[in-house]
Amino acid sequence: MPPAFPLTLALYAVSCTLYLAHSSTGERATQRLADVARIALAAAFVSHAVDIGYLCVQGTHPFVDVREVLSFLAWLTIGAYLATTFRYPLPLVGALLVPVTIVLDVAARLGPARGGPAHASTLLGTMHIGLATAGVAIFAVAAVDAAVYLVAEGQLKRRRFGPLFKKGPPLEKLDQLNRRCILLGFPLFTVAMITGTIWVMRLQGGGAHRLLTPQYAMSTLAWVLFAGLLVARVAVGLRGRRAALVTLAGFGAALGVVAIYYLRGPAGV
Amino acid sequence: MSDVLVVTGLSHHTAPVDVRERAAFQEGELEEANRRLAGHASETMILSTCNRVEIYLTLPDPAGAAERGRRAVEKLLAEVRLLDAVVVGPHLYTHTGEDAVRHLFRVASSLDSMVVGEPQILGQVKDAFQHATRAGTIRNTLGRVLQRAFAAAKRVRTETEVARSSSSVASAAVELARHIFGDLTGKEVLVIGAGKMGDLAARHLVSAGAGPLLVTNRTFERAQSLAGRIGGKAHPWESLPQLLTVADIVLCSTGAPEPVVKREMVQRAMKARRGRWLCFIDIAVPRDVEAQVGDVENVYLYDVDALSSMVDDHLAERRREAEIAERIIAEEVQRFLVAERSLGVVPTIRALREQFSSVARAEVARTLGKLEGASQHDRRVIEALAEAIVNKLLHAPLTALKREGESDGLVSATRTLFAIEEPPASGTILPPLPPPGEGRGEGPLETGSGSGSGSGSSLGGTLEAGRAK
Repeated sequence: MPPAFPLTLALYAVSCTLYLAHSSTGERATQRLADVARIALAAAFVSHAVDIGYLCVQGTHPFVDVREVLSFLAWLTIGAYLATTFRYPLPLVGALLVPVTIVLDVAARLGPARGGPAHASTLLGTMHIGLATAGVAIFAVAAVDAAVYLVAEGQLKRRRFGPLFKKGPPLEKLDQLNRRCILLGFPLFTVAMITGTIWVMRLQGGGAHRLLTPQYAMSTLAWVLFAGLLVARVAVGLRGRRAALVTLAGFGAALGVVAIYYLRGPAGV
Repeated sequence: MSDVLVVTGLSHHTAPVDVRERAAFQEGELEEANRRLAGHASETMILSTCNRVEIYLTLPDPAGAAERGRRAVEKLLAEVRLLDAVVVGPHLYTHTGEDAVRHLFRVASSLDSMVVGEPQILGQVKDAFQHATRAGTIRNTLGRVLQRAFAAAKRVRTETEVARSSSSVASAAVELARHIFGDLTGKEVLVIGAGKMGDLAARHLVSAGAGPLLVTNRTFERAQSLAGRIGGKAHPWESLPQLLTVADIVLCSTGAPEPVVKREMVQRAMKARRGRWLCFIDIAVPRDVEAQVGDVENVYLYDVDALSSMVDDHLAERRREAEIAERIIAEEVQRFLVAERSLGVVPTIRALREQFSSVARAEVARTLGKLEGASQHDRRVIEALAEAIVNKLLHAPLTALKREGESDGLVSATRTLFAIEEPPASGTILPPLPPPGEGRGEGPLETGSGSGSGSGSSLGGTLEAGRAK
């Protein structure tokens, strides 16, 4: 276990608690809670980076084991969220996202070692896993953003003006963030799909039959959903609730791939 | 016999919006409706806003006044608004006497409003007063209570933070728009209708950064007039479907009896908008926007009831100020009731003063007749002396009379002692107060305002009347 893991976990927990406290109280003064939560999250991000760096120095590359990929995914997700907060300070998204990353990081650290896919350290393998993880991390932010959109939109439609409504970010802003995340994440995911396809076909003599796996089918489904969302946004102006639902479906498919690798190990690569 | 004040009506507290919109009077109907009621009451005033329809009556006989007032109102609603008593009856409330006075004061002070502290209601009560005045159905009694209600509302506004800390329907609209769009800068606002509420809400949105403003109205001249006032651009009514394709926020406040924005119209507009969000703030009663419009994707529709549930959330923040305001209302009601009681003793005070003065004048004249060499100056000194003696002698009894109001014992004792024979003017005297220690009227009372006109009736008969539902 990397040395900074307890500190990282504690900082994530502090940030998560502050974000939740901010989201569940109605006082104006709680803006300070959100600010402190963001600082704690940034500290956790740095601490997490120290862990990843330490493991690299120890010879445990982030892509050599599925659980390291999970930890790397959690770290990238937090990084992506922190990057968005400069333009879109949405504490409610943080309140939902940080618990997810805690689960991912704990699963990575406390779960059994699964081993890594063969030739993961090749250029293609590194590119595929790195880009796919980055893409999924950005989609994770988009998905949590979409979930917040659906909740906020539901409250506005049903005219329920409780405390969560007060904290709910504006719909237009949530939709903008979703669009930008997809615009950024989709090219990464597309390149990851291409490199992954080539990589897998080259492995052990290759062959198209190696693509007939559940994880490849799920990856393709995720790609199709995000591609369709992007096209629909540009071509017909799809936005709002439907865009949020497609985002969640796409992220669900991408998360399915990660889950398959985590549960079955890399044997299916 | 004293008149009794009765108020019967329905409001956002008791009736859903669909009942309120059916009961609401159009502005042009008010004077005629007041005249129709005049046959049943001494005075009438109809207050009709998007959140309440209330009818204020003064009735000549306190006995069964609540029931008579309620029947008159049900009859009026059936005749003018075609609203059956079976439909409206369960939503009606009736207050009489002191309760009615307190209710009017609270309404005018915006303490009974959907959005406590909202500023529009006082103007609406004043408008109702003017309509009734033009119809000739308002005279001294209702006039007096309304003037005191306006004064109470002014006190509440200046001495508490209720108005400043509260949001109005208009500011609630701004808050909702912000939940959809965030920053309102550059968001186009379409105002449908040229009423006051739309005007106010549009101004709130502009002050929040929204704009440009588009205005449309069935009467183009009124649209132009409103557009000129709020810095917008008027468009003909026929261009409404096109305007919906460009506007982000639509404020509706027409007086149309039927919805003017239909679901199909909005669906067509949303296609042209490529799904951009559209927010309708419908503050009209009857509603201007079909309820089904709210089901269209990316369209958000808020009517006055929706605004109500939102602003309810703000009530806790305003409760402290509202409590102070309630104390002011209690003081003002008490002060008004004291003044009303004082009105009842005015004839006795006048008669007493006149009797003393006439005796003094007669004695001065007789004395001066015996003083042959008295100069003009001497005569004026003697007349002033007599007047001063009368004032000194009457000061204590008049103060006591004013303080005791129309306590029958004191008034009749005074009349007996000083042989004042003529009865008090009809309708000017409050009914007997309960014996000391049992009822109201024992607090600190005004002593300097008893010189008002003795004509007209007081609301005294109302004071013992209770609340009826």
